[in-house]
Amino acid sequence: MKSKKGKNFDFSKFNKIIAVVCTPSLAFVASKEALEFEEKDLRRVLPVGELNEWLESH
Amino acid sequence: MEEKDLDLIPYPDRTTVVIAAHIMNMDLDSIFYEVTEELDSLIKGHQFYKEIDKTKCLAKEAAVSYFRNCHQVLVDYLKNYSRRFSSVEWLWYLRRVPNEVFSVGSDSKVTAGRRRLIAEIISSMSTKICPVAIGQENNILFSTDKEDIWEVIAFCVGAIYLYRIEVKIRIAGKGSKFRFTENFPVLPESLVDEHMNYAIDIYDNRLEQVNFAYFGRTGTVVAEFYEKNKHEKFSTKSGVPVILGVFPVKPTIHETYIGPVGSRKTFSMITNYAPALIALNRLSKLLHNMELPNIAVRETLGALITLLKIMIPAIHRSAVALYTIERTGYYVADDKFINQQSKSAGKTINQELETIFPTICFDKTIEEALFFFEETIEPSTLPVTGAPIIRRQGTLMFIDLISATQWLQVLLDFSNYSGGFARTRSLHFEDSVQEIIDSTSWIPKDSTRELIRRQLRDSTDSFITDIDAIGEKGNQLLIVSCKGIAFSGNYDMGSYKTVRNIRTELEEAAAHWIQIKKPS
Repeated sequence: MKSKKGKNFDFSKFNKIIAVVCTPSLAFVASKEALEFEEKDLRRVLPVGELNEWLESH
Repeated sequence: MEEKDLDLIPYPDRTTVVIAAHIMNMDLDSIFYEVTEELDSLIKGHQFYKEIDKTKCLAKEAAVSYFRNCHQVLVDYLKNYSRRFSSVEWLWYLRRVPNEVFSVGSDSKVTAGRRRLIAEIISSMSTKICPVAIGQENNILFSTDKEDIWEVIAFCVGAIYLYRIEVKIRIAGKGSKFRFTENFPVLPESLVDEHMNYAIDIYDNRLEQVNFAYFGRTGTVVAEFYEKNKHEKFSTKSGVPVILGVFPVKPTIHETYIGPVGSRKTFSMITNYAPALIALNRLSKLLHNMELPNIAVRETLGALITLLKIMIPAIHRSAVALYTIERTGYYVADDKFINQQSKSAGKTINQELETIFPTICFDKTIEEALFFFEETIEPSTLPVTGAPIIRRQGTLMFIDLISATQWLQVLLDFSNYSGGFARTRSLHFEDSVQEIIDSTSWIPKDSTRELIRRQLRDSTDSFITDIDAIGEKGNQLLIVSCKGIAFSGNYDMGSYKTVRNIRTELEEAAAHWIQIKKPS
């Protein structure tokens, strides 16, 4: 985040913010931003199945 | 293979081995080229092929139209070819054909599964009456003569050709142009750039990893899977609506059993299909907030859920059901089986289901449901749906549980719903994702959870973003933007507009997050 604190939130206790876009099924995306890994083994745009697996193994 | 070796393989798996042995002795590549050449010539003989200007690039619309014509030619040809065997024989053969046959020209597991499904759908259109088979119930046997197996393999190659056309229609849907070349005189090659090819490869590879479907056409998460391959625990969970689902999996050696309750004999075998218990409490919650307008869908869903519910105790009671389903994905039922299920389940199950799903019709006995599937389920190869659920051989009924599970996903298609329901679905998806996060070590603390559905504002009160779902672990914060997109049949078929709209929405969302996270 540009700032970890805003008018109605305070993320200052977190060192890392992981932000992803989740869909019910795998969707076709092609842009660099959408295909990139937000975190190791975690693509920025991903289906709920992939998110579930990542959460269980990290 | 020696006869003594065959004796070690549990009956009727030896048929699979005999079929595999025939296939090993065939030159698959040469069958592939021979049949492909024949199918190329077939298309070349049609007027639409002669009329198209092969010196020019085909724009996406023209390409879709051309490939649809090719698709129809192939469907007609394969329907005609399918008359060589009955629908039941085809299912029996195709479920014994190894993935290697469907993988000719591709390393992808997804490809093999899709090609096999296309073969199963087309083969079900055979009008040939089933001959008398050897054996009974789940030990049905058909000819394993080499010539018959060759016919089956040639048909599979036809299905592979049809699949190649379907892929080209989908690539055209992603916006590609096509051109005829010396190497691609009938099915022109796509002119996608390197980056698009990379994106398509990533998509295909990710699709390969999906073992259990998530009913994505609902636009949310409606199913939770229990006890994958844990057949010994096949029992219903109290208070949770559970049905059976059967899914194709990568062939693995797995312990199963055969024999009546109390004297089971366990052994290891290669499993191609995995039965799983599917909890539908999330679907129940969603359907409480919506009305299914289509009576046919309500009836078919009811009949499907009844069948998949009744099969759980049926598998437990049967001496051979689990073993057969894990091997072939289907179960062969006779009148005795149907009567037994009607007596043991009857109205109790329907009443229970009516309470859980008040907007679905549960007015059919299992016998009526099975007849109903035969009358109402219409398989299609464009878009690809599922194969028929029921195929008959005399008094025997092949109940294809793979197809039943696929049809459940096809019918739970809420992609056309908009307005209030779309909002309900969107909130349902956000809740489901949060539940998934909460079930892991990323469960957020109360102070973090308070941010769910809050509009974050910066110090100047400017809007930053919404929080749909959230998690935390140590000093890491996870923020999830949930897009409750229902993936329709059109998406599956590669409709350019549908694919483009969804792609644009997701790519913009990804870019939005990068922008938000960028330090000022």
